[in-house]
Amino acid sequence: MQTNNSSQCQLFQLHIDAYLDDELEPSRVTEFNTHLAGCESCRRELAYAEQLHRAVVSLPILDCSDSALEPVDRLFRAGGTAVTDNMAPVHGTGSGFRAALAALLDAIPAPVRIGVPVAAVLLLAVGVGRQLPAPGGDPGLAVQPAGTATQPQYTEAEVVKAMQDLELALDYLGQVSARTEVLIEDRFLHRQLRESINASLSTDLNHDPQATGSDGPI
Amino acid sequence: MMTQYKQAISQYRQRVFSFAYYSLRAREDAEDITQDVFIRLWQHWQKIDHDRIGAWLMRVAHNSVVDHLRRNRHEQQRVDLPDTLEEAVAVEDPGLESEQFRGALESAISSLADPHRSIVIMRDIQGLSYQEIEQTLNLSQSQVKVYLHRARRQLRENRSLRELAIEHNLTGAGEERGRPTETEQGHGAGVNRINTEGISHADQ
Repeated sequence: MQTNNSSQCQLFQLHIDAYLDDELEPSRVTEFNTHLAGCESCRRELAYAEQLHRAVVSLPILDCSDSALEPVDRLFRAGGTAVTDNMAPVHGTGSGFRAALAALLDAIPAPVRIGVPVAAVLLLAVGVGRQLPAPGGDPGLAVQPAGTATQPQYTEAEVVKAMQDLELALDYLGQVSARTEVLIEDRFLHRQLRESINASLSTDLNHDPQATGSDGPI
Repeated sequence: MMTQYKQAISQYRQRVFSFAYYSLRAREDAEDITQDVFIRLWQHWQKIDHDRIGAWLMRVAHNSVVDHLRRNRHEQQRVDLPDTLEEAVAVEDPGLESEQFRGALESAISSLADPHRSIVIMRDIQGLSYQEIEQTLNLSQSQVKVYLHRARRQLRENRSLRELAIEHNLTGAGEERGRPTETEQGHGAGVNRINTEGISHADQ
């Protein structure tokens, strides 16, 4: 950029865009025009500013490819009823309940995802274990420790019901745990192992010019 | 609703895509952002003011671009076209010179800081009105003008760009490419036309 120590040059070059956009007061325009008439440096600067401006405004308006908007068309055709399933596939596997469950589980941090079911199972086991009579003993004849309040006694039907509830709870927790296990295994073990093997194979192929194409990535 | 949505896509897809492209200079990323913007339009269709869809879309596009640049700051620095003087003068084909200048210009624009970059794109390339830019970026008109003038000054002070233009005498470099939508947008109406050999203002 040309430098000019004249304060008038600096002032003009500071306002050159306002000058080009015709946003200056008429008196200022006249002042600048007078200056320009005698200043080669500012004339060149003005010419360059206009040239650059023309180049910028002449940059074309671009359009994206139709394929880029295909997913939007799909959404449009589907009537927008399943935005998540159509537009943002969760992990690229399936949809509906499975995808929703995977997304839900994903949103929970891993320690909580695993720890909570385990803690729940332990708590249930301890709680139920305390309620059950000693092995081999008669529920009605359980000996109470001296000096403690009398524990409430349960009928056999109540115990059976509690056991059924416990089984249901354990079954549900088992399903959640199994699902979590599969997700973790897929995400942290299988995928990483697969990528690691692929990376190794790629490295070997790159290093070995004799290698054939039969050992492609997994 | 369906018809209006379709119309909105056909009316604004170029504007959204061009904005994203000139901000990022990466076609695929710009297409991803365009797609994302129109999906959000669908998702928020009932809530938005339909008289200001253009401003809403551009605001979403602007936010997406800013987020994208924040996430990929380091990669973005890599994708800029090399625009050093040495590489520029090595080009001999006049057509390539123009392309080189255009690449350097796009690079210089995309490397401006926001909101300078967004305002130059919206105002100078896309020809949006000051009012549309104000609504999109939530700025006053005077702020928009100040940012615009600063951005243009920064472009003028870009040494590589200046040397490239002077070296190849690229006067009117942009005139080789037509802008079919320019007339429709009434762009550049307020810009003085100056005779580069002299001074048109002196005659007024």
